[in-house]
Amino acid sequence: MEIYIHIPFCERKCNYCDFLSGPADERVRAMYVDALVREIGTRAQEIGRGEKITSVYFGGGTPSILTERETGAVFEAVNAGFSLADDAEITIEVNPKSGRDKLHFFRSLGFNRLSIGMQSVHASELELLGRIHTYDEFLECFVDARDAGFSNISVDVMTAIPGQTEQMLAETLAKVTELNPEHVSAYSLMIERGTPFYERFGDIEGPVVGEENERKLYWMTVDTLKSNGYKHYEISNFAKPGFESRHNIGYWKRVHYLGLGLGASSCMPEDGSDVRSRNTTSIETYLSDPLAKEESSVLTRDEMIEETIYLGLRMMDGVDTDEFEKKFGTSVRSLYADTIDDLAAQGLVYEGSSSLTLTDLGIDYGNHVFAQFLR
Amino acid sequence: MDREHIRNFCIIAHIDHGKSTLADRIIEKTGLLTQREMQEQVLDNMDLERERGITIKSQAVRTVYKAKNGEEYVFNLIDTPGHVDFNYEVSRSLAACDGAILVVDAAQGIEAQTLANVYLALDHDLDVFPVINKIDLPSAEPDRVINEIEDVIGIEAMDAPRISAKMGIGIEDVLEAVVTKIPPPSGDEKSPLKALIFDSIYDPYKGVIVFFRMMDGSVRRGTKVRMMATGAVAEVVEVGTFGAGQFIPCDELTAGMVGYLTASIKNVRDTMVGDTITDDERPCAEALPGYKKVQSMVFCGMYPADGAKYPDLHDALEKLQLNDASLNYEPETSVALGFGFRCGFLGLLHLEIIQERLEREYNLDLVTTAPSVIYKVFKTNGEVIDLTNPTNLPDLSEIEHMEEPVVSAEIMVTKDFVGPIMDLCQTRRGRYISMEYIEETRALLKYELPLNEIIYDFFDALKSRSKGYASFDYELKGYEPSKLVKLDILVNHEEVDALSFIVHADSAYERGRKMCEKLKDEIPRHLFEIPIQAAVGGKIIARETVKAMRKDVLAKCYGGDITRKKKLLEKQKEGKKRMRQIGNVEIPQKAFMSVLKLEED
Repeated sequence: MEIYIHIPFCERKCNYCDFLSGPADERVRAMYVDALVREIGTRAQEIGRGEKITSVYFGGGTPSILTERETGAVFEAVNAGFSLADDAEITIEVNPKSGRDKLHFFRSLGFNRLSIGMQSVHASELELLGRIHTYDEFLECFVDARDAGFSNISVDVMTAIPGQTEQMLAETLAKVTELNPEHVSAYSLMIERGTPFYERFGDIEGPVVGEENERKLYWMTVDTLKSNGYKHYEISNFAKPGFESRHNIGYWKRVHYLGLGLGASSCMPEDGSDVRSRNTTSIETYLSDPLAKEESSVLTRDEMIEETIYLGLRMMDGVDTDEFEKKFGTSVRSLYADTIDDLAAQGLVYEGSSSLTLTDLGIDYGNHVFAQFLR
Repeated sequence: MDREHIRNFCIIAHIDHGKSTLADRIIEKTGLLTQREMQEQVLDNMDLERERGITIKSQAVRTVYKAKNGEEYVFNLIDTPGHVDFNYEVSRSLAACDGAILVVDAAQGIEAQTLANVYLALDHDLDVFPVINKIDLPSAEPDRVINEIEDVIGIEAMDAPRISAKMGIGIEDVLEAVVTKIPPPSGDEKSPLKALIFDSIYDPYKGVIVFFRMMDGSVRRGTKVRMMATGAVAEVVEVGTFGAGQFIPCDELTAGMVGYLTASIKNVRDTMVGDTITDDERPCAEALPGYKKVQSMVFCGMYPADGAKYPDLHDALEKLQLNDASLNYEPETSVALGFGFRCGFLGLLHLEIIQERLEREYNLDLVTTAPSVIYKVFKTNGEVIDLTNPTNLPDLSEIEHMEEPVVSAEIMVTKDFVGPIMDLCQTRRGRYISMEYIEETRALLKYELPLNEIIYDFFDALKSRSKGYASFDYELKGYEPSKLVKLDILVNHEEVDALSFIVHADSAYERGRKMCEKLKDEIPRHLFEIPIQAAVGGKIIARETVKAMRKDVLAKCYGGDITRKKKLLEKQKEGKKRMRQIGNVEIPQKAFMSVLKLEED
């Protein structure tokens, strides 16, 4: 089982960001941490210490915005309430301006993986995105992180930024690979409703840089990182061997996870079924009742089956069809013969002896492929 | 009950002028049903009909009225279908009556169907008396309407009852008028049995229930009856009359009465509307006049959306046909749609009703091809083919010429809309016959129109161009030579047989263009570009293109929010549902239907 902790605060909201986060004063942050610790305590009691926790992930927002005392309180609550596996992956997302003291503190607390939001090495792009840091600050942060003892660092890169040329992306990727982080997440920019970018670029169909360009930049990223020793293990994620993000893989392989904090999603077992739920997204509600749920639904067997496929297909190793059969007592082929044959004929999926994977073309039309598996 | 105290009559009216409501009031006032028992409209007992506000099948009701003279009269009220598709059935119902109540809306006055029905009634020598309905409406002009009736139809209307069937005003006057103005039936009880079938329905327990009007003689349990046109012979199991909504068995029916019989008959095709029932052992000299074999005018292919449901569709059609002798079907196969049936209907309304019943009562999802009329194809070898499916059109080199059915149409329209309606008839290849003003503000337009021009969306166009003020009636005139071509639709260079149809050469381009535009919107994007083309005789006359599918930006699942991801995928999947594979292109079932109605701009 995995644990996700949501810290919905940041110094300033980026122009593209539609995550549940925003600036808040110290008082609200303190109240939030209190509520979060209460939630952790209650859920821990419900679940008990029998279940080993294989991954803990502090995401946001910018979790590093909390004070050391606050971060420590949350971490301790988790550590006290749950039984963390010895080799648990424990990640925190940090902003490049966190400062070296905090990084040392995180390491000493027990975090063993960092995710740093770099996005680009170009000042013009960082400014356009509304990032509050410079590339130099990122660099300093990266060096500090190594210094603090982090040997598993992930760097975020953004592609399809308006105005981004292949040359610009190449420069960003070159500088990243030079630093040689263990992991790179590279996401294409999407214009989301309710963001300043949405106001600015409007409700356009597809990426601002154009559909063909976006794909070109994507495949350039894949090629560059692969040629630098990174394994392309998930549509948008790359890692040195052995450093694939266990937490993220958990989402695609349907490992159970408990989301804690404002608006956090969970997928937990209940009476033999899986239940997907989401915590309240209202900060007022959360502060007074951190156990409040916004939505909750028991998955049917069909839903579990379709999730197994379309989430599994995000992994470059694809869906393990042997495992599927073991779990559901029926083969992927017996359920989806027509769909698979149809997609394979179009060159979108590849059916191996014990796996079903997206082809390169299938990656380009991923959502279309996924949608075919909805029952 | 002696014949002097029987009145057999019907109510004729333009649609919505209040026929069914008046029927309800008559039933109510004659006291056969209490208020509580009354269904909203007793005669229209099928849900579908009620929803559409029209009556499809004939039916009859027997009620007892105690007149002001103190004597009791049996009223047999025979209901008539109100749509041009069912003209023949109307004529047989009229033939079963001795008189008719003509209901005219006090605000709208005479409409096309009013005239058509009155002339039909007069043709059958019925005594017609008018009733002015809806006098409670603020816009009612009973005096104007009365003058109109006298001027246009030429029947006495000065003392016509002024009523509101809805409010229950003046119903007594109508009942008295039925007694005084409609003659009792004639006929001879001693003569051999002679009865007119005006309807029949199939009942799973009793078999076919035949509705008829006794002309001569008598019939009882055990009588061996013969249907003179179909030749079917059967022994009567039960005779009786119709209470409102129920069968009331009796010992015997005699000349002048209206009733039903059952005789373990399995198929309504043995008891066709208009046929004459006689005694097999003592037959009458000759059958009643007017019997016609019902002919389908409009054809279309009906396919189950789910191919596996083909046997279900077959069963459903079989069951519907038990009750509807005018429905025809035979199996056919389409490359695009698989196994289905080519079905024949009296008209477009009949088609729509059957389609809805199949979907509603039998839970079938259907794909229907464009309706077609019967074309006559004269081949160079002298052979003549009745073409009901465009796909079967012989090679052009084998065709000498083709003919299409033409109808005589009467359109009644207020002065302001004469122009637009004439335009419409013109664009539908209408031949102008005449126009006369039946009163200062209203004209009766007569046109001859090819049937294939009115089976698509003529009614809709008529309504929209006249703001609902035009009414329309037609009858088949005959066949005429015409410059017809087969329009083919190619999707990604493959011909889709189910989308082919016959069209006049002059409209081919326009129709082809609209089809391509419609299909472009209906066919989802594929990984590749899809050309959609319309072709006549192999020559492309219109083209549209479905652009290739967009490539995705695959966003990450924020903090494991799979639910949101799934919602996005479901949106993407929307409209996917049921597809038909043509070559390497998937065409949604909906696309086949959407081209049926290429609305007017």
